[in-house]
Order: sequence, then C-alpha cells, then structure tokens
Amino acid sequence: MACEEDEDRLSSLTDDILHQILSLTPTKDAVKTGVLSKRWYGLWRSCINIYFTNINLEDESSILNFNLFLSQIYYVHHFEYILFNRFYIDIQYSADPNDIISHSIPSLSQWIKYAAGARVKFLHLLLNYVHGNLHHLNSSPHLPSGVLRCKTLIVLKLRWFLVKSFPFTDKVDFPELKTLHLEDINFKTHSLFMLFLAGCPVLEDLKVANVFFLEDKTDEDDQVSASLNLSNLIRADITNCCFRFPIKTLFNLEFLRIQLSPQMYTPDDFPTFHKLTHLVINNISDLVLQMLHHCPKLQNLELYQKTQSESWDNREQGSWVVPKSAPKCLSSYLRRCTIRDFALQDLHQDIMLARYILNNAGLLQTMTIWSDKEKHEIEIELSSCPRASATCQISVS
Amino acid sequence: MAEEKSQASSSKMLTLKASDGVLFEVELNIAKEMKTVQAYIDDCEDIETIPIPNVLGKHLAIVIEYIKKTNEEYDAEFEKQWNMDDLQLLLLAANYLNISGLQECLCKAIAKRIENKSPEYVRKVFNIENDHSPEEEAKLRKEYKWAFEGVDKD
Repeated sequence: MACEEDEDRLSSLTDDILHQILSLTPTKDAVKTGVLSKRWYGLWRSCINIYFTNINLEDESSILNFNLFLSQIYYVHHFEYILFNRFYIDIQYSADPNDIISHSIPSLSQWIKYAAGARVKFLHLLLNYVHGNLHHLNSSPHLPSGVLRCKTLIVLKLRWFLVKSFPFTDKVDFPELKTLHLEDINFKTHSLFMLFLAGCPVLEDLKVANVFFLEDKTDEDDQVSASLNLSNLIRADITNCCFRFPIKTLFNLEFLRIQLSPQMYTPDDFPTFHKLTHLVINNISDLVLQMLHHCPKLQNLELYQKTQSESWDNREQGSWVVPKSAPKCLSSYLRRCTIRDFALQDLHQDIMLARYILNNAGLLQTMTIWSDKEKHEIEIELSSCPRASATCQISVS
Repeated sequence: MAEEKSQASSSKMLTLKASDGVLFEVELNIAKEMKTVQAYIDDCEDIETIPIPNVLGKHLAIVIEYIKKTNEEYDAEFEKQWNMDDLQLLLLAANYLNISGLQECLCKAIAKRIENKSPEYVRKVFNIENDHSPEEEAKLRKEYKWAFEGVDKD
C-alpha cells in the first residue's frame, strides 16, 4: 500500500465526525480549532459544548476575562440552537471571595438558568478555593437556584457550595437523576441535606465527601432522616461527613465506601446488605467485624485508616476479642481482602484481624497488605497463620 | 464459513474480508454490532463472506477485538495504544462500519490529544495545511483572545 503517513486525514473525516470530536473537546480548545484552516473556521460553532476544565481564576481581571469569553460562547450557542447535553465547569479560584461572589457566580448562574431551559442532562459544577490557610468552606458561594431548575438531569456533580434553602420551591425534584456527587458542601440544616436526597427517587450512584452543617441536628431532622428512601441506590461513597448517615436506607447497595467511626455508628444502624459485594471501610475498629455480619454476600473487602487530609481517627487501644461466630460472608463468599495503612496505630490488633480473616475465609484468593512499618514482622506473622483457603495468596508491600 | 446448523444462531459464523484480502471469521452476534454488516446480512440472507472494502486487515482485527472486549476499563486503556495515524483510520473504520460505541471512544481519544495544545501543534500532528490569510487568523485570535492564552509546551 502506498505510504499515507503525510496525509491530512483528520480533515478528510466528515463534518459529522469532526462535530462529534469537537463536542467532546474542552470549549477553549474547540474554539481554537477555528484557526487551523479554512475548513475548520466555522466547524466549532455548531457543536460547541460547555466544557471547562483546569481553569484557574486568580483575581478580578481573570474572572472578568473568563466572563467575557462565556458570554461570547453564549451568543454562538444561542444563535445556533445547539442541543445542550453537557455542562462541565471545573474552576479553581484564588481570587478574593468577594470578587468570586460578585463577579463570577452571577455569570455562572445565568448560564445554568439557560442550561435548565435547554434541558441539560449532565451538569458538573465543580469549584474550588485555594488561598493559603483560609478555611475555604466558610466562604463558599450559595448554590445557584438554576441548578434546582434542571429537572432533566441524569448526572449532577457539585463542589464548594452553601445551601441555605431551596428558593422558589419547597422541595428538590430530580425525577431522572441517577448520579449525584456532593463535595465540600455546607448545608444549613440536616433536613436540607435529607430533602435533597429525597428529591432523587431513582438515584443509583451517590458520593458524599466533606459535607457539613451550620446548625445542629434537631428531632425534626431525625424524622426526615428516618423516612428517607434510597432503595434504588447501587453505589454509595460516604466520607468525611460529621454526622450519622441513615445507613438503614442503603440496604440495596452493591458497593459501599464509608467512614465508620465508633463515635457515630453502632451495629444497630446497620441493615442487612443483601446485595453488597464490595465494601470499603475507612477506620479499623470492632465495627468492621460487626459490619461483616450484615453483608452475607461480600466478595471484596478493603480497609484503610488515613483520610484525604492524611489524618485519622484515634483508635481505642484494646485487646482483641475473638468474635462469638464468624460472619457468614467469610466462609462462603469473601474472595479478596486489602488492608492499607496496616499497623498505623496498633500493630497487634491489625495482625489479629488479618489472621482472623485468614483463618475463616474459605474462598479467599488474595490478602493484600500495605504498610509503612514492620513489613518483615507482618509477613512472618501472616504467612505462619493457618489459612482456611489453601489457594490464598498473601502479599505485603 | 461453515454454518453449524445444529447450534443457536448466536454461534453462527460469518467471514469478513478486509480491503487487503485478510479474512476474519466472526460470530454473528459480534458482526451484528457493525450496523453496516447487519444491513448487508439483512439484504442478502445466505451470504457467507462480506467484503469490507474500506478497512485494512490490521484495523479490522482491532475493531473486532474491541467489540468483543469493550467495557469501561478496556476503553480507557484501548485508546492509549494507538498512534494518531491508526486512531484516525480506526475512526474512519468505525464510522464506515457504523459502530457507535467505538466511534465515540475514538472521538474522545482524539479530543483528548488536542486538549490544551496550540494550533501549531495540532496542525503538525494532523498534517493540516493552514490556508487562512494572516489577517483572517489574527482576527479570530483577537476576537476570542481568552481561548488562546496558556497552552501546554509543544
């Protein structure tokens, strides 16, 4: 075959394919393709998406320049009647919070209202604030009301907002929302958070990280919490929320990652997780084995201690208590076990736990240990331990 | 090729012939993922060998493997393996064969490779000849000034 290495193949693709590529390209880069050649001059105009990633806005002038660009794109979008599926914005601010709130948020809010009217399906509004040691959650902007108007959403991801109320309506209503990720969100009350979740009846994937509350929990909050129904949820990832999540409503999960502090949860909070096959627990305590009793079909267990901020819950020093009965999942289902930050606080306890699992897990295929300390001792202790599963492989890193 | 008459239709085999003559025997349900091939089968029921005149054997092999293995993890690793030339030819193949999943995966891959790159770099990588006049280009750069600030080093 003749060598076609130097051919301009990309331009020979049809307009339709090029539109598809451009609609998956960040907005900034899509606009730039206009200068590539005459063929490319106007291509981006009919397929431009709102997709901004790795944006850093350091001061008022950079915010205003960005706003100008946003309004230019608005006119193109509006003029060309572009179908609106995706709205992705990921911005890191180090500007003065006053500038953020008075200049940047209104501009974004306008866009979101437009997106709501255009029936957007995928919305990522991820903001971040980096400025020395200032505790950034205190200066987070109010959640734009337009977000709650996007009733056609299937995926919603939010980061760095304050939710004080639900304006215009008394409730949240996302009838088609399947994925919800909330990070760095400050809710005024516990009820607001519960009502937010209650407004997502078909939710399948929930991630909650760094959620805080301005006011303490009340009895009314407990009532709202108890009536929450998340039975369609398949995946849940709940970390760094300083409150007790109503785990009973998560009984249909297949995957759960959760921070299980003994200060916050007791075994009475656990439902039976009939379908749970993969469990990740942040925090090693007696609750781990208690939890296993509630996961009859568990195949994959992961434990770790450090959190995102590299801190960890202090553990009660105690002696290992042999459980009365082995959790059912150990003998019949567990295939993989991974323990990170091993021996971080208590070498002896962690070894007893690992040995207990090795003793009882009849189908275990791998036991993986990650540790910064005493690797040699860990290896000796675990390889000498009698195993219920002859084919189990142990690795210590 | 050989029709195994006693078995369910999902294990019936079909032969695809690439543009350079290479032959591929595939199961019917794999071939059906290529809507173009499906249409061919609908038109001519007892066809045994289907010609694919626009796609080289090397690329047809990759396409077939993709259909067999596609899932989230596979897709993420898949697009990293190919150079720009192959990516574009695979995209043309996916478009011709009408395989929407593969087409979207490859479009994403190409979009990722032009992300945060200068127009000069994109022109070089795709061998695009710049036929703008300097005035036209300058006008566009000025109008959307923000877009042209700050890119990766080439």
